[in-house]
Amino acid sequence: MTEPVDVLVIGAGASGAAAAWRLSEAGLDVLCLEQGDWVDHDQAATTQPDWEVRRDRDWNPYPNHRKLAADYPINDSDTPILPLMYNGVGGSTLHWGCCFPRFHPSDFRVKTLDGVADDWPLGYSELEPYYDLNDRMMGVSCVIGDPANPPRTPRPLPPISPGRGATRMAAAFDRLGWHWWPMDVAVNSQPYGEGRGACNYCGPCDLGCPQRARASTDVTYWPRAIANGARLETGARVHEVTTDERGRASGASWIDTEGNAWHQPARVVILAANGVGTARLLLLSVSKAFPDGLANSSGLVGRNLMHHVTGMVTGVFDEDLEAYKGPFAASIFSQEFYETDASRGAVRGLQLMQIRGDGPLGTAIGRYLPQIPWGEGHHERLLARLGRTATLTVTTEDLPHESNHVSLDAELVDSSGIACPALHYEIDDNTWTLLDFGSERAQEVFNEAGATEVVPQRVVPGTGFHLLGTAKMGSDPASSVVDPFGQAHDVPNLFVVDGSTFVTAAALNPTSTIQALALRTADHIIATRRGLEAAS
Amino acid sequence: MSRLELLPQVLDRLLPAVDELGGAGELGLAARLNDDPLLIAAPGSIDTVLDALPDGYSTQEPAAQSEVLRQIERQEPDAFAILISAAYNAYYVDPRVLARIERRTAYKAGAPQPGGYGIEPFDESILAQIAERDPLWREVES
Repeated sequence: MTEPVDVLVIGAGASGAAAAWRLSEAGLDVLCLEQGDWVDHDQAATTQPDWEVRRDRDWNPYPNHRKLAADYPINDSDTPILPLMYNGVGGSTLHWGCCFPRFHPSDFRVKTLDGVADDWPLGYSELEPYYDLNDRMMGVSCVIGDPANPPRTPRPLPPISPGRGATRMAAAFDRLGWHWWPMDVAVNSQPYGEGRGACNYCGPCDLGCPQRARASTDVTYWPRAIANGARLETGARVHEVTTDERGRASGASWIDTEGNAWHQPARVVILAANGVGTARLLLLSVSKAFPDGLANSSGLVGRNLMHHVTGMVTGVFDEDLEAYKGPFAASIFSQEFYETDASRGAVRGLQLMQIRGDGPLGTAIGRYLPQIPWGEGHHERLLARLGRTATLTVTTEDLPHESNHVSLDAELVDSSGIACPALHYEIDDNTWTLLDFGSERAQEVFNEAGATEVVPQRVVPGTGFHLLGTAKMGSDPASSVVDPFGQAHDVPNLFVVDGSTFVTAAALNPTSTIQALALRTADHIIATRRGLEAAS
Repeated sequence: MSRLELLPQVLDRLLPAVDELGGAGELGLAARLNDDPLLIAAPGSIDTVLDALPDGYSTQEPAAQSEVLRQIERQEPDAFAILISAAYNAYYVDPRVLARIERRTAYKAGAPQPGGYGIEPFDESILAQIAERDPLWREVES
């Protein structure tokens, strides 16, 4: 593996898979290095009788708790939000809820419209064809006609059934005159794609899908990329993007699971390791020419870390809603409060999204509600809740602040001895205001829907599933890390395609936007052959 | 009384007998707690709780035993919380427990896959009101 490849992709998750496929379609020689392994969906936790316990063990989304061999620890003692991710072929799509909304046009113009943060150097219309392409590749179930979003071309699949709970909540939204719509989800409502079946409404998408109905990229993009000739090396822990004497990326150094050191030369390097992993790699890639880390002349690598700080409100109903049936996050959402309204005392907005209920253990432990007390009365309380709950998440737009950042920890190292990331993050006042406003609205809906008990959680710590902003995109090298195509300002044959490049976070799930940007970057590389001549 | 004898009695108070089902201790779940990663990570938790039990605990009435445990829960909240989580983890994967829940609800015991669930199909008529609404997204210049 010492011959240079055209393109070296680091990370096999949502964005790396999309980029690898697109580049391999164009005939480029693509190699991806992934520190995790393939996951066997036929042995998914959902196939095991102890599936609910597995959520707290090897299928936990929090790497510091899960502690698999492929994971690296993260110092999160300076943040209230736990970072969630998965290291494997498919990345965090192996754990995700598959929500697939798109940014609004206004999300790209935050500075212009609201005077905060920065505008993106591109707009919705430029990304729209890539959203459409990505939807076809992933398989998206939805209903056309949502009045909260721009008109869209028909997508491949009819909607997933929202279920009884969402139907009851939708009626409440209607009575309040508030927007709601079935969520766009990357879950097959019908068989779609090679070897991919239809969802059978088992519930816990986060614990694996032997139907392959859930669109993790190991079952969507990767089989097609590999058929094109792309290669995927698993168990490959990259610790440095190397550079040549001209300051161009020359490849990457990595360590295999046996501890052997390797170097892979490449003409182009693409980072796709998420908003924490990519920042970590850039900061690790120190050299004489790049003493502060690679592509970091702006000093912004690792800065502007954004999440989607999430509150939660759960309602208990006096009827069986069969809440454990159906993809847990594929239900309905409301963007009634998505755009800025100055009367709230905050800029930007929020999304309410319904998620379904838990199984018996999750209900007893209290993932969405307080734990059911032990002792006499425990069993009756469990039956009064099991299948009878609905939850609305309050997803707020997290504004970028340079003080929120990823750094290299001075002491913590992974199992290969590589410095680990440390997160430094505070929730700002704007977000708190949006969280409280959204929580009040969510409680209003539950009351309208006739919930007998309504329990708010102001913020849920275990919601750091979106890791954004740490290699900001922009036109000015002094105020951004990469250009509008994800190309590093400082290193012409280095690209970033994960959520690190986000200028702002919007108030919704980012994966469809991450992948659309990755496809656009790939087309830019193909069209311009940018960087491909570098090492030849 | 040894830990082997005391722990099942404690579990019987935490998750008591219900319907035809014995309490968590009677079901023999005490041994399973040893394998719980929570307790492996915090191995002294059970001992902390058991060591706080007064002499004669095992001969007390159930209500008195529960009151003792509530006192310990207040005194040793971290250790007690770990014990509770481990007890729930063991209890709610037990086939006998899940079979009882299945008998009382529409929930299906066992693994969610490959069977999945049947569900009512989506009725698009519920969109009638919202679909009539004017666009509420903001137009912006590209």
